[in-house]
Amino acid sequence: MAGMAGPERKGALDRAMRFVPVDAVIRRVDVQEVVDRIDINELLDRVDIDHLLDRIDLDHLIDRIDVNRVLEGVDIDSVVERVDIDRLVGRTELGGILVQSTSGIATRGLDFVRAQGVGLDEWINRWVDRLLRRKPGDVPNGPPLLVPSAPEAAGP
Amino acid sequence: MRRERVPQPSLVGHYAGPISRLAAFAVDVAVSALLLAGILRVVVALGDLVLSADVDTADANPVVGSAILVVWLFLYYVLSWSLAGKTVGMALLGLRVVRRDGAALDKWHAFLRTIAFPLSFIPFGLGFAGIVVGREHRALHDVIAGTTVVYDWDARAARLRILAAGATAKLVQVEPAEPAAERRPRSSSSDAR
Repeated sequence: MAGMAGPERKGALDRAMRFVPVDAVIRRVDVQEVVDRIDINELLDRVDIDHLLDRIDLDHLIDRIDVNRVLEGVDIDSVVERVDIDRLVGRTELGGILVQSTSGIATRGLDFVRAQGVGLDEWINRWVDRLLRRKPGDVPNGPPLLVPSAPEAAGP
Repeated sequence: MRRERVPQPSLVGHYAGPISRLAAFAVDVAVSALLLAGILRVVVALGDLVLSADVDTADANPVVGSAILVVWLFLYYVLSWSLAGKTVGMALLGLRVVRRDGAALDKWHAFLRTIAFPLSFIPFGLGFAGIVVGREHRALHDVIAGTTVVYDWDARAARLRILAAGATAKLVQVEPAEPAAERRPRSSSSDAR
């Protein structure tokens, strides 16, 4: 077989293998020793991780995650305790609004009265517009300098 | 199809409607009457003190009384509109007088408006009908003086204040949570801490 060409050698091997009990050979192979001789690091170096990750369907993977079960293991209270509320409020306008609201009983009373007046104004305006068959775009909301989108008044 | 004017969230600068203006006028009537009564009381007291004259306003000449009232109302409105663009009633209801194009009210237009104001009452109050049916919600005296009345009140900010007040009230009502160190599950046996 040493002097045979490649295809000839392959054919001879194939014929010889018919007489070899493959199962008996495999049984005698010490797989652990084979594995011990494998350099895993070299094997991993030859693995294209990027290509492997490209083949992973992350959406499908994420769908398999039970988020509720994950959240059950999270102690929300301890997370919230770690939040600096004062700093958080300071970064928003909520602090200013809260300061105004706590000292604005009279302001809230005024707001209530004004809101009632505005609500009634709007109700009357709607009915008048219906009675006079006005289209919404024909009626300006305010003077042109104060309400830029308002159409110019045609006259008194 | 319903044709509705969709209100802007803020309303600042929008034409004021009839109810707000009527309410502001009612407040102004009350305030001006109280102020006049107070001033007259002070004047009578001073007259009593300085001149030792026993002045009784009930004996006052009606013509003189009417003249005092007219002068007082003129001063009340012209000074309010020329100095601030609003009266006390308008300030409470969040209204402001501006010129027809939206520019700030100047003294001349404030004076014109005050002079023309009584004219809106004369034809059975029909001079005020324009506030209801007019496209710019202007009364007769507004048309004469070249002015209009707009909201000077931020409805959106008011809504945020109301929401914040409600949120604050809820925060106060919530019981404070136990500190984390004491939140460990308690065992059934009586362990010493």
